[in-house]
Amino acid sequence: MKKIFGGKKGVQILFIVFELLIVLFVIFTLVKIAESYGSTTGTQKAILSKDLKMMVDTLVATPGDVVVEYPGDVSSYQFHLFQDHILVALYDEDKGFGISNYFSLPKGYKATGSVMESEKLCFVKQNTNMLLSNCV
Amino acid sequence: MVRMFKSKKGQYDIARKSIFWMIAGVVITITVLAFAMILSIYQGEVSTVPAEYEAKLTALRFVNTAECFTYQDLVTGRIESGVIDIDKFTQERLDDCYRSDSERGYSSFNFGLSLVGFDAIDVDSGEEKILMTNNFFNKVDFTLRFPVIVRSGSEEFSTQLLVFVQEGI
Repeated sequence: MKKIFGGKKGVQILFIVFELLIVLFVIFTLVKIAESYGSTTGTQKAILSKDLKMMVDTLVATPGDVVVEYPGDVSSYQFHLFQDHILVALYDEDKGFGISNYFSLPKGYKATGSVMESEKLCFVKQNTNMLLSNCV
Repeated sequence: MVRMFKSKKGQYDIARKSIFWMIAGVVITITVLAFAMILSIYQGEVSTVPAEYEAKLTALRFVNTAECFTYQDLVTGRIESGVIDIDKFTQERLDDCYRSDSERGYSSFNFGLSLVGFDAIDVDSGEEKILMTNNFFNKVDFTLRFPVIVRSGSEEFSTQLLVFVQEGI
């Protein structure tokens, strides 16, 4: 071992090994970053949050009482409707990692409700009350 | 290894490698960060909704909601979409209908409203006054047009509601 690393050739081998390790580390880092962005959950949360925000605006602009079912299976996510924003996160995720989208309701309107681990999601508007709930 | 450090060629080799890896380290870091940024931008573009579409959904309340300007029959309670009650078309009513957040509101949609032929006249300048939401600063990104009917007492007039949209500052 002393002979291998003692000579000039040995040092060159060490450098080559070191460079190979650096290259492998960079490749690993780039793949991990691409993997995390490539997973659909981040984008899907953003799309869902935006969709539901636009749904709130649409319901505000719809006179009378309304019940709307959001299309698709949303069982992988949790939804929370607040007075000024909608929060979407993965069903097993902390709310702090969710994505919010803000809206403005007319005076006198109330918005509330949460949905978790449910396949279907429904928006119910009764007069000036908006409720996010499981579909019955 | 000690021989390498003692000889001039060996010292030159080590110095060369050190400078190379210093520069390479900086370049690699920049490359990785740029890669992450490009993916992030792409992710944002994939989930983008056209601003005009989103603004129109928000602005629809002005012509369809009794809490905003829409005429509501007091006897039957029926809301007449597309019909503006001229008595409701006031700044106070707009403030109750749509109010962007006082802290974050400059980055969301804000609106200026003009009811063609029915705007109030500014006493000082003689110009037509438009209604404005709380964070509207006259930066108009695009304009939405809604054909409406204005009800004033028992009379009805056909006109347009112009909604000047400020996307965000």
